[in-house]
Amino acid sequence: MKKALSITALFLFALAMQAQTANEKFVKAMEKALSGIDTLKTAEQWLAASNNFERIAQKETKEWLPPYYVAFCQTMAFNMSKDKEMYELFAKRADDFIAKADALNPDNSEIYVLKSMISGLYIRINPMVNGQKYGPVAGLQLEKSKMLDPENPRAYMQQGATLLFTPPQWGGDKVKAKATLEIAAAKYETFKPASSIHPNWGKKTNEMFLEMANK
Amino acid sequence: MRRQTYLEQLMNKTYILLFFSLFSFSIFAQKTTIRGRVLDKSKEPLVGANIFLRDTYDGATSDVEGNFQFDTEESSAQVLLVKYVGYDSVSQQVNLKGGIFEFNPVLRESFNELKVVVITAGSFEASDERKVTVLKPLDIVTTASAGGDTYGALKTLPGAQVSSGDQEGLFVRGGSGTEAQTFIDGMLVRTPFTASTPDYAARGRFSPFLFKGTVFSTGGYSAQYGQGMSSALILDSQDLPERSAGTLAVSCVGLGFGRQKLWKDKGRAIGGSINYTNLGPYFSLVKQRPDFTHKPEYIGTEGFFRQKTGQSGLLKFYGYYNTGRVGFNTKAPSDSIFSFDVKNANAYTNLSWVSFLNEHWKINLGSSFSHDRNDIATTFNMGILSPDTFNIQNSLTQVRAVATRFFGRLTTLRFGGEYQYATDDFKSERGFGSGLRDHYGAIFAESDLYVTTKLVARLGLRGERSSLLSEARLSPRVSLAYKLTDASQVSFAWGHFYQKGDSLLRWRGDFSGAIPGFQKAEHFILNYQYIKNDRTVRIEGFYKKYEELVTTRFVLANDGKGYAKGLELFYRDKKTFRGVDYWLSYSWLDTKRKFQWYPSEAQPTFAANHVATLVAKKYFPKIRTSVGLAYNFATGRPYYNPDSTIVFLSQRTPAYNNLSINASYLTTVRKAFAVFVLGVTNVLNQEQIFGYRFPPQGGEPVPIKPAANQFFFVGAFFSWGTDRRQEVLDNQN
Repeated sequence: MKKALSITALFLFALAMQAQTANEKFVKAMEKALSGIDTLKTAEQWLAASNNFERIAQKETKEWLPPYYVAFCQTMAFNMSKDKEMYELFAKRADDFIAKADALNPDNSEIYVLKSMISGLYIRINPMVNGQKYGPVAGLQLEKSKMLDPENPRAYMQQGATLLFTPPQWGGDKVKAKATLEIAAAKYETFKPASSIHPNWGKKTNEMFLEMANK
Repeated sequence: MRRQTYLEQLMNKTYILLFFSLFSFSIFAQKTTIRGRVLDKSKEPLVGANIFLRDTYDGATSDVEGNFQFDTEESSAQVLLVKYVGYDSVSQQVNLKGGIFEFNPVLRESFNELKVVVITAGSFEASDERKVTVLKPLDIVTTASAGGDTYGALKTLPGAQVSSGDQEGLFVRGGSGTEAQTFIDGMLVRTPFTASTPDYAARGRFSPFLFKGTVFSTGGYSAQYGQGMSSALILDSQDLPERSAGTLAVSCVGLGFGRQKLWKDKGRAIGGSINYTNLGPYFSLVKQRPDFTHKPEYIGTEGFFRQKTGQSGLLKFYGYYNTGRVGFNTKAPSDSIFSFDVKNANAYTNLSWVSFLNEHWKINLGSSFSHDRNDIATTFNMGILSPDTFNIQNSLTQVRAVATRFFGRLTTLRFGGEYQYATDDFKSERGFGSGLRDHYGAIFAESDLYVTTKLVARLGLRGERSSLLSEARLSPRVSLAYKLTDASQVSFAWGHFYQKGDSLLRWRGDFSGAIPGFQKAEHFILNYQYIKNDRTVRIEGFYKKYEELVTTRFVLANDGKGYAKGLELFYRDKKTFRGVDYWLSYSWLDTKRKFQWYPSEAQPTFAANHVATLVAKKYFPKIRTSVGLAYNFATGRPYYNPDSTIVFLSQRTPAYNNLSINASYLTTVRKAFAVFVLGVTNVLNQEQIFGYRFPPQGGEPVPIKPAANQFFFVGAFFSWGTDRRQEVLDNQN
């Protein structure tokens, strides 16, 4: 009996070890994919980063972070790209992957920030047509993000950026933008990501936006 | 040495096993290097492709040269995948044994709407859903000369006449206004225009905002549609709205108020609006040529209901009722006065259902009913003044069913049928009148055959029969399109198009006891289109042959004939001038026909030989204002001079010029989104003469002119969404 117990314990231990190793492997792969991500500049670089996350996503089908980062990289590739014909593809892919992340981890504040950013991409593709549809949606997604985690600095940064870059007649406001970006800056100071691979981006961008708002 | 216990032995064994099972890869697996180059079909390297082993983290991204390389410790049977946006993925079974594995995949471009040829001969499409269209629905409402009227906007496209300000309808490529038909969700609209008055063009009844897609065909259109010898305007009504909203319109000619409600589950919507138009106050400020005995006044209501059914189905209902009156006295030849007063009531309903049965089959069902009533009091000037009143009514009841079968991604087969019951009643106070009833049925089948993504053939056949005409006709129609490059394509269309004589002719036909048969047009169209980087070029040439046109010279007969040929250019450019979007249309038309009362073949009164239009729009972000202009030009149209020494229809009116401008100021008023609009037609106040009316006994003719040279429009539109943030938030999940 004792033996049996011991064997079971060992077996469980082995399993846990394996799981632990698998998880470590995942975290390592994610850390590797995330390393240097804040130095990426061109659309091509962002797409290569997106490929890295997509590879992880196709293996770890239960993890929400890989598809989240694919959506993030596609959004950034859109922002860096000058090829208008690609815009729709980037936005669509970002949309597909954020939906995957959302399905794996519903009601996540970070996912809602990205959703709002993606709604913004659609508006930029065709402001006249998509503005009416996605404008209010983008705002609501940010509201929801803040509701889910009032301490998420990225929600405030995105709100501030929207206020900063939207033409005044569509609700843009530089003064409000500055105030909101300042809230974001304060929240960045205290923000602690849940792990080394959880979203922790945007601090520098926020500083850049603040500078622009100050001009 | 102490003997190991069994457990210890086991533990050792297990540890060893465990050790191996956990780290077996790193110890025993051989490292394989996978490398190669990713190319497309034309041997061009693809940069940014994702090459990886399925269910592992191992992979790489191809560089500028298409090269990639990565190491893996996986061994034996694996699946190697290559993914690249816009291309079909490639997967390959591989057996890894260490060393170097060379892999050079060739990727094929995947299905992409932008790369697929579409039939463009004879058709202009405005749609948000399809990407490669010449126009967007918004263009229709923002065109300066359009005045918010779909038909007004279409007149800025090649093929349509611009100077037909004295008659209702679209005059397309030598065709009369009655030869262009309007279809909503596939169904014919009997009276798409507001009540017509002599010498003044009527507007379209339906708001352009009702439609998500518009196809304006200037010829060679699909076998799904019939009874238009020259043109089909195919309108697709809106699906479910984005949100609940309210609208308010205030302008110098009336008031409108609308509401729409979208259910929380976004599966159902209901809406309605009421509009009141009265030109009385405007006419007291801006002098009009005719003496209005009843200034134009209309009241209209409309409502819709839309409901999702099942996974993909949508049921839509639209109802419209409008009633109005206009009366005026105007100068007629020999110093007489022509007076006219019309009271109109129009009802229209459209019920449709569309659904996918499965991935291969789609079904469209529809029914529509319309009734139009005109009570006209007039004083005709036929030598002596002869007052009379008329009661004219027509109705159309129809049902329609279309089934679509999809083969693969592109090829489709459509077939279906429609049945229409039409009534025409005419009663004169002086006692004569008529009543006609027609049962019209049609069946059609049409296939879009994609030979490749670059070559498509549309083959269609339409059979139709009218009980009134006791005639049946079969119309074959063929279109071909070939994509030359990503940006350019050529397209060809040919077909037979039949049409019943118009209502007026049929009444006359009834008087004399004979109903004329179908009239026929045959179209040949060749089109070249280039769309790239916000620039569009279209060149289209056509030849049309008319046969069996109805003549009314002595007896009613089908012995008229004619032709129309022409060349049309369209150029749209959103790129050259920063922030400016403009288009240029030019149409050259050569047409002659013998029909109706014409004694010989002649260029008809509604056809100008050269028509040109410039439309330009620019948005000024700083002042939140969008400014537009439209210049319409047409050479003179023939007019009839009864003087027998003058060759029939050989004289021309002066050329037509019209410069319209508009400006919209966008802002928010409290929570409402607001647009303030200002528009002026014929800014330069140029004289427009549509024709002349000659006195029967000879003498000075009276020119036919618009009611006023210019029209000034001032209006404001407000729309506000219901603030139901929490609801929308809940629906986000």
